Amino acid sequence: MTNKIALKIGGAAGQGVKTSGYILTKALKDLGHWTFSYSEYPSLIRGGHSTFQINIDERKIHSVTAKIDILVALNIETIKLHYKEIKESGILLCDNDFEIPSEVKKYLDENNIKHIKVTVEEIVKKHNGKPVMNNSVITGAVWALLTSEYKSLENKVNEIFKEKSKDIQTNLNCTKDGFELVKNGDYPKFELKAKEVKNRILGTGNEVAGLATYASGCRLYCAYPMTPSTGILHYLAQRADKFDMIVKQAEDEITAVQMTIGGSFAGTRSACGTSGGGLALMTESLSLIGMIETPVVIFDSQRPGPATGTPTWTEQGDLDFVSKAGHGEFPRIIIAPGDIDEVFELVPEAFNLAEKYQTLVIILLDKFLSESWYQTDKFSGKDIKVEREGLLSQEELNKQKDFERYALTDSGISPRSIPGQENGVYCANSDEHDGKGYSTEDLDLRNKMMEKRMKKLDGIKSSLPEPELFGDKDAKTTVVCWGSQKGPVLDAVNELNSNGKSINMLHFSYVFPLKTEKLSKLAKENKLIAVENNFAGQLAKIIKEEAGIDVKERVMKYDGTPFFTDELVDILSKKIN
Amino acid sequence: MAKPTDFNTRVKPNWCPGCGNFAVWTSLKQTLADLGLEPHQVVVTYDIGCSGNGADKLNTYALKSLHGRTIPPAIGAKLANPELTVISTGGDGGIMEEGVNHLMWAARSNYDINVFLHNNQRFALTTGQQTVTTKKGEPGKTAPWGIPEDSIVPAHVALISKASFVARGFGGDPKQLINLMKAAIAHKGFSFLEIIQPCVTLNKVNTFDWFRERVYKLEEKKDYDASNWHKAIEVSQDTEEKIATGILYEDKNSIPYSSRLPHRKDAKTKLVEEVKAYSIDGYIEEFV
Repeated sequence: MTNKIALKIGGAAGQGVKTSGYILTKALKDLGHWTFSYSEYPSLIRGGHSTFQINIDERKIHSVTAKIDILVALNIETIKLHYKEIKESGILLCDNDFEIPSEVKKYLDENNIKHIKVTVEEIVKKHNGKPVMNNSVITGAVWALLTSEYKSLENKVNEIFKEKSKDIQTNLNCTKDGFELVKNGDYPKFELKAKEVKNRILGTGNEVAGLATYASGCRLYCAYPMTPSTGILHYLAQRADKFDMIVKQAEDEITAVQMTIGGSFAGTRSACGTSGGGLALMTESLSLIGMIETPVVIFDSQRPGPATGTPTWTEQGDLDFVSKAGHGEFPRIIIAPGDIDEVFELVPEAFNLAEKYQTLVIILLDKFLSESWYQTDKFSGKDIKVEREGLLSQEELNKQKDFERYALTDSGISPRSIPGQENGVYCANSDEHDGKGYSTEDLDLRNKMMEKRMKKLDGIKSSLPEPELFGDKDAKTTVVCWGSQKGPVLDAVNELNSNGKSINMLHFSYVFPLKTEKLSKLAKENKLIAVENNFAGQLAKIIKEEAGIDVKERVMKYDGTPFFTDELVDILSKKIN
Repeated sequence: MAKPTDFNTRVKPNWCPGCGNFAVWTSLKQTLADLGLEPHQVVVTYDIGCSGNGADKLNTYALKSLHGRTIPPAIGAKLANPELTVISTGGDGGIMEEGVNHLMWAARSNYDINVFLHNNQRFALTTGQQTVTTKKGEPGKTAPWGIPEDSIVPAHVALISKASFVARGFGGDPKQLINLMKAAIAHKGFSFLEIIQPCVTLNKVNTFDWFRERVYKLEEKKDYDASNWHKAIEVSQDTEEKIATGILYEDKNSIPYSSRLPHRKDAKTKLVEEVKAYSIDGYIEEFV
């Protein structure tokens, strides 16, 4: 059988869907297989329906499919909601007690889907286990469908339940029995073989964002909890002692961003994180950052709006907003990493850019990137550089006659002092100001200061890299995408190209200001298709504004789910020139 | 050693003649000089309004924030560099209305910062609307028939929010005000100092003379015990007949925020000195 497998586990929140999915993902990584895992869950603590999907592949992948090979149902609800996602000749695995509705039975028969009934209760009873251990039996049973190598799973059950359960042995017994039951049954198996693989890691965008924030020398992180950005706050808060950072849960987002401004003004690297609604509250402060030219990095992990929207789902809906957020005009940089490798590479870059241009840098993540489990090669972090351009040393300040923090310069970038330094006193003033920061209503000076600040945009624009082109470079069809949808588009493009089609993709990680040279060249000969996880085609709008190129062909998705690989393959194959 | 005049900038104050802000400004310069502080060792944050217009008139590192947001950047600066003396100033509009939540949370967190509230019972710069400290029933531009809401005593908000130092001074008594400013700065933890600072242009009721007839000093009351929180609530209540000034409350055993963080309480370095690339060795293993 194929080594490309899609497996979905579904159940009520609290039934252990995520634990099972996580154990399986980690075990698969140890077995030497590439995975990508994605979960859907409601905005509830208990109850409600949640799923965990794992896609397994021979090559590195960054997306999930709509169609699945195996559906693992921890409750009937899962079967009713997802049976039509099972592919022909696929597998439904569940408790033998479940009453299967007749329309489901009919579908299973018509599509030659194997129904595996596991005697869950019997096994748990045999080991005097608790009902919560049902999912251990199921986890073992699923593993037997994937491989006969039990050891990887056993290790992970041990590792994970060491933290979660007092009764590891019973969990292990249940897992083993579930495994044996299916292994010895006459069922189709995928027979994944163990591969010797070293130095691979598994992590979510939020965890990697937290790690990269620490590695970049950020010492103060402030946030108010808001899904799906909270994972960054959790990651850093739980390691604040080892990182020796101050990680502050503030009383609201306005406080979070203003504390960050204060920390940065005083000279330490500071950042804050939120989602769209929280960023809306920070908006006035973004404008302050632009005016007082204090470097600040803000994470915005997007979720579907408007208003509260669907809090635990995904969308790329904030680009338009963050590219304009804040009253008045000031320069800013918006970075949208495409996967965890880019998160790890671009977060340090964001901190350096913020200090170099003394302005606001927003890092756009979303629920898909923040909370999905990516597998990649281990980061070394050895290349991370902390560059604090423009910050004067005490010796340099001593040489200054009458230090002007906001001196007019050709680049628009002025020298920076920090409180505590002698001879560097200035006023970081939200009012229009002169070189010292003193308030002014001298209209000529106002013009000069405005031009000084806005001039920084030229430097920013020339220093940012062009977007990256992936896929067949000679193709006549180019998908234009940004941020987290890199994974789904890349996986779809690769699949199309390996099926004899010819297509490529241009992925923007730096989404504002926009570098348009590569795009302009491609636009002359190629058909462009914008693929975005929003309604309006927000990057396409910026492209129109910045490059005058109208990307007419649009593939938009805004139901709260990311693009699924197979879904994109279908859509794009009909649009290829 | 810096003299009070070293805290002048080249910008001349432009408050209305007789404005209470002059007294606060002069007292603060004297305080900083008396404490032996140099301009570069001090950060003052400002709100918007007449008090905020002082941002470029006091020669220290300054951050003039947005309306209501004078306190949180002061916190950030203090966390980043605990050696700085950090003072957050603002009016009754900014601190008691637009940003009152910041006052409450800063107090309960006991950050080692000093909040100096300029209370003139008016939104002055916007030409004299009533605020939360205006007496109920007093007419004004946006309530021609009298403000219908009850007023709130700023010290009460600070006290119920667990501020570890709460005081009230009067712009008409700079000598006492300087002593209170010094005590606030000396206090380890969050200090709240309300400064009664009459608006001579837009408040014809609560004038300097009106206050002079009503204020009394707690330090002259032999039996007043500033460690008694309930007493502090009681004496600060009256803002109409007999108005208490002085240290209303002080918890001398107060433990400031940074000392409440187990991993930072004995820190040998400041966050501002710790910005460098950090190795991920030992942490990347969690992802393996």
